[in-house]
Amino acid sequence: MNTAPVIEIDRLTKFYGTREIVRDLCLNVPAGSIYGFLGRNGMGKTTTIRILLGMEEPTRGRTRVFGEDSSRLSPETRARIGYLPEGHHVYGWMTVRECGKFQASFFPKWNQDVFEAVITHFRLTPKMKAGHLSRGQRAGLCLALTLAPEPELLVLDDPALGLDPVARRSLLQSMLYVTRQPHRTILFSSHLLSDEERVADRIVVLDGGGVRADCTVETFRQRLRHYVLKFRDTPPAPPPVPGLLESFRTDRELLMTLVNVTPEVEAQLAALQPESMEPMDMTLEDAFVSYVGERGEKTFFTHQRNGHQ
Amino acid sequence: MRALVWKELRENILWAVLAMLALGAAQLYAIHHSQNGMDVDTYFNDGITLCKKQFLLVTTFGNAVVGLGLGFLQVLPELKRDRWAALLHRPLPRGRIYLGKALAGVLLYLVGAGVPFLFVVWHVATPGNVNAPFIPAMTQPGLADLLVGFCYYFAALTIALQGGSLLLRALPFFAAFHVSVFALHEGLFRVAVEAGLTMALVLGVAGWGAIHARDTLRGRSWAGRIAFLVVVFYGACGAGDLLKMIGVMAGNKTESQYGNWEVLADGVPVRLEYKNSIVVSALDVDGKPFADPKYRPDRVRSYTLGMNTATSYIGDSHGWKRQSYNTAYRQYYKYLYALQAYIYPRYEQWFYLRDDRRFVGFLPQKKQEFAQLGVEGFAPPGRPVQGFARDSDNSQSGGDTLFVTTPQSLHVARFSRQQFISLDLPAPAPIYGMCHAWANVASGSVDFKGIAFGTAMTVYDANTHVVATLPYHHDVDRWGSIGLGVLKSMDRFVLRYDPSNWIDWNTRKNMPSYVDVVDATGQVLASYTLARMPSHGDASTWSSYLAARAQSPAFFFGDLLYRRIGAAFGSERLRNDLKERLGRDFPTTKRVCITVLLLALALSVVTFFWARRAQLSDRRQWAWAASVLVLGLPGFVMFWLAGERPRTVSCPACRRPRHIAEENCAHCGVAWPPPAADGTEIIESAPAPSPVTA
Amino acid sequence: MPLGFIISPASDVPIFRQLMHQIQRSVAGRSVQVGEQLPAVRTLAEALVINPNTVARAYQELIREGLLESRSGRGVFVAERRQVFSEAEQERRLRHLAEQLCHEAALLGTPWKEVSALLEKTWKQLQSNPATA
Repeated sequence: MNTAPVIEIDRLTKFYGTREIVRDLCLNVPAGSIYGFLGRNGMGKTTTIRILLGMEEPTRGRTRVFGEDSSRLSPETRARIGYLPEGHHVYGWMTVRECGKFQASFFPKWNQDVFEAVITHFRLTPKMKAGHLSRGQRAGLCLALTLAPEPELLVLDDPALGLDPVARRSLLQSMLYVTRQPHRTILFSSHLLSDEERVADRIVVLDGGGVRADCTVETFRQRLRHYVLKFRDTPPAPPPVPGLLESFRTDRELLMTLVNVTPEVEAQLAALQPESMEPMDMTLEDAFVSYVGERGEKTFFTHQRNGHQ
Repeated sequence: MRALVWKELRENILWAVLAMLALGAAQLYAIHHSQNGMDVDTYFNDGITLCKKQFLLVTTFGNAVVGLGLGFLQVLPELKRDRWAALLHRPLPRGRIYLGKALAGVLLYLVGAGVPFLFVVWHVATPGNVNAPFIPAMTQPGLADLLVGFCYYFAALTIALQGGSLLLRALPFFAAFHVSVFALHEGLFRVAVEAGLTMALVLGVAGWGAIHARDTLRGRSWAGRIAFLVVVFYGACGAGDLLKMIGVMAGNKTESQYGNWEVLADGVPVRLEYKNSIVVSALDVDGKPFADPKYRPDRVRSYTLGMNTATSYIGDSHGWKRQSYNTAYRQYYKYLYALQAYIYPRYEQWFYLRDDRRFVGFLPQKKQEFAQLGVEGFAPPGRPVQGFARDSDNSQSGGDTLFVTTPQSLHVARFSRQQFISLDLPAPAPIYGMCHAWANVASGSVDFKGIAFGTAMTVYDANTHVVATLPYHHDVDRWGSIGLGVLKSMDRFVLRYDPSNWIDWNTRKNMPSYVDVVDATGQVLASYTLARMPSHGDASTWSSYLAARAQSPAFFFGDLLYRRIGAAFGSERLRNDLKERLGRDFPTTKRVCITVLLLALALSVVTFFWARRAQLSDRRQWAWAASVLVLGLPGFVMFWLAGERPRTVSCPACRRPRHIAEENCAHCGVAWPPPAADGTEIIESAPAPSPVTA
Repeated sequence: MPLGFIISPASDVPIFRQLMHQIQRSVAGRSVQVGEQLPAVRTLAEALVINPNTVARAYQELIREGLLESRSGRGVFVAERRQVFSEAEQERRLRHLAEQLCHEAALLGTPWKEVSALLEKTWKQLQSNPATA
């Protein structure tokens, strides 16, 4: 079994002009896992993926895929990587069948059965003109073109963008289908946390140019904790405990979202002497929003608009 | 790869066909376009077809537009980030993807620009379409344009694939433009084609490099880097060409000023001074203006004799070889010239084919060849005809009559009767040349031929009668450049003696000229000595001045070296060029040389300090300074636009600027600090989730 | 066995726990009999469009709890009922649910009689007719 990571990113840094898009990003993706790439827009997901595939030069640092430097991927290695860029572009003048034939001519390991299975799944027929397809159908065609060469690594850049729920579900099914074979690896970025939660083994959260989280979905949810502290009177200001992401005060309650809670932190919260203190589960979406959203105390918009109290 | 070519062809074939139709129509129109509102097929036919200015305008600009258009169409629509990524992410080396595009593009270009050209050539070559003989060599200018068009195609590819500032990306276009300008001015077809193909190749390699790394030269192979720098260099040269043209067009015209001696209708020499081709003064040999009002500067040109030079030398003892006509390949005159049409008894048009050295007669109404004339006389069309001798000369008189000379013989052809007869020589051979003397008189025009022999000039009229034999009265061994004029009375002649061409220019410029007025017996009636006029040379415009002096030392000395080597290998053309530059033009050569060197030196110093400020490494500072010293202004443009400018940020350790791409600070050597952690990270090691079985 | 599980990713309950609960309910409701084989991990994962590791994790948790058993090389089966929880744990689990039920009943103003009757009815149904569970 090959134990070397499929993707190695070592202190990757990328500048656009003087703007640092990616800073000191380190990440290893082992074979046989589904990695979800999360992060707000402009946090370098696409840039990282493009550097990974040698579409752009890194300013600093190194990225390797299957042990080969990204900027010098050999055609053989490229054949092992399936890449679905954003936007799902197809040559509009080709029919679905021609698209397949065209793509097949580049790949030694083209699996026509897979291609046909995927296009059937997306309810495409070979005679359709690619230029007349809907967004979802186009995504299906692109996916078929990406999956048919049976790539060992599948890199999908926001594949769900603009897809309806049915097409999205088909996409996820196709991804699971890929991992039927052992050691198939998928790296996909998405803004749809429910999708990530469904299929990702692990998620990677990019924030501020680097990796802020690299863990299983489960761990991510466990590490983020939402506390409701009830008080008899007006609650005190939230204490500056480590790992505090955001806090919110109502008349009788202090709500805090924390990450990496230690017993010491819980003790500090208890020291506020609330009437009750309840940790609550969060949905992945809430957890994510708290994690990468603005830090600090939240207030209602109305208060802000009327001037701070 | 084959699929890629097919895809590219399929995507743009429509455009290529469109270009083909448009170019074909434009070229056909240009071929049949009438000048001066006259029907070129009947009157004023010069037979130049494929060398016509309008036609070459279409091939020059049309091919450039088609090349550029196809290049852009192949890349730009696909260049959108994700679309491009989808194209590049194929198990093919990028070079192969580029090759696929380029291969398809070359084919498309041949469809778009080559097919119409071939069609027009076929059209011209087919009898009955144009009233002119078809000479295969006349396809040369169009062919050169077709090949130079490849430069534009590859320039478009390079422009589209290259990142960076707009100025930098415009340079491939200017490099192609530079080649166009070069091909326009170059005399030799072979050299123009070589230049075009070489630049197309260089641009192609530059584009090939650019597909590997869009924004940086890093990541390109050495060939790609060098090719791109060459493109930038020639782009700078091309931009200079354009500036020069704009300078000329903006009214900053060359101030031409020169003077020469002519002879008035009554046999008196007149010294004319021209400024911008307008006579500004007309003086007699003593430097005084004429009293007669018809010799005022604005009218005097109507009263000068039409005369030209029969010979530039007498005697071949000085090693001066008669120069073969060195006409540029774009000039129709290199291939043929038309004789004056002969109208009675029927309308005929004769052409002289310079390479075959034979005449071809056309019936303009049928646009078909009906006869030819070679050394053995007239012959029906289609039969192989032996051409005239290499050292033969010909001159038409009065439409119907043609004099043909060789050093040993004199022949006359009469087109109306298809007669070709040999005339007895009135003086001992050899014949040194023939000239034409004409003047307008009330009864029509006088039209005489002067045949120069070793001791006398024989004058023939249009009916091939000897009118006079005029012995020379000067040292024709040194004043062997002899012209003939005829006064209106037709019994007085003017002989003009200029210094022979074989005499070195520096000597020649101090020798006077002579004009003798003689009667039909050769008696000298008057003789004038004409002082040599100072040669002014053209006053350059600021832009041509700049362009001449801004050229790089590499060009300047390379050019001289090229000519020196060429001369060493026996090229007469290059030897003469070199002789001219180091002889007659030496003062200019020296001035240009000094300016070029000083400019290069100054720019080199600027480059060095600029590179230093831009935080380039020491080695690169020196390398760039040296390059600019060698390459001059274009090299400076190269550094300005294509030179790397590493971005810097303030070093967290020593606060001085450091390259963002370097691991360690150049000043303090400290590596970048590790990313700051704030305790909110969730990093769970132990990846490798056990793969699920079943 | 039927695969009619419902997964809702946007919930605050993790997917593997949702799956666990539903398997537990199926077993308790006898829609799955003791000794019956559960679908293979990948089959269930693809049917539900979730990560196979999530299914595997749910199975593992249930094996740990004793509800399921893994027979090497053959798959996962519903285990013979045996108690793996301590009495205190059993009580804790039930009390948690009882609290919820009582809270809800109090909120709705349902009298205890009806609540106990409902409990009894549900219990009997569970024993006699597994399919409706």
